[in-house]
Amino acid sequence: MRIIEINALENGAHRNQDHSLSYIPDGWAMIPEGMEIPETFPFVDITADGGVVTSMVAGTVPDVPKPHSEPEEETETPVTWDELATAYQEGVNSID
Amino acid sequence: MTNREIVINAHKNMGKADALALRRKCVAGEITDTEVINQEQAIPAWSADKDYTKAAVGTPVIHEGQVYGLIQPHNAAHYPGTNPATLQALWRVKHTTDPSKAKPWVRPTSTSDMYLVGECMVWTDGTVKTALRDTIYSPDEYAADWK
Repeated sequence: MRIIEINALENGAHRNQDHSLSYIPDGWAMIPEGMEIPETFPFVDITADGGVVTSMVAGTVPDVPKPHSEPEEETETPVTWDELATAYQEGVNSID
Repeated sequence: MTNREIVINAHKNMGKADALALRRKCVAGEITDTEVINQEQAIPAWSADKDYTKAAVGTPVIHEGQVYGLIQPHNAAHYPGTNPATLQALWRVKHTTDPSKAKPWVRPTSTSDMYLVGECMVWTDGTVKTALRDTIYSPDEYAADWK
């Protein structure tokens, strides 16, 4: 059977897991077989009674925070062969 | 310093080092004219404003594709309107024995700048000719001196 923690986490998700023992831990409730599971699961609003979920409706899925992006590195213009040749010649012509 | 600046500066330094090394060899007489022309990318351009008074005899310059060696130190600025090709008393043109590097024919003024046996030039018809003997003559003047 699948059990779900009755109180949600800070982000609105409910912890849940498969459970094989005959007792339901405190603060958890069994999800009855055949109960419709909203697409937003585990972001759901539930009511429970006697260790059994009695209703489950879709909750609010929090926005995914944008990943912190590094500022784009300024890319240098590639050096061309002409520039290299010019630089070399400048060096040649620079001797006294 | 950006990578671009590093690379550009490195090439400038390379050019300077190559030019200094080549000049040293020319002045010391440790290098043939053929070898000098083979490294002509490391030869400074002749400058009409430059004071060559303190330049050592043998200092190479390049002007309009021809390579010259200094014969007589002088201040080029004192000879306005001239260049190494017109001042053969001050600059000696260099020749090569490498046909692939042959330069346009330059009429010798004396035995000091004549074509020595084996040296090549590009004749006026575009063909590369090699001196069969030391010569001051053109192929038109003495065909037997050239092949």
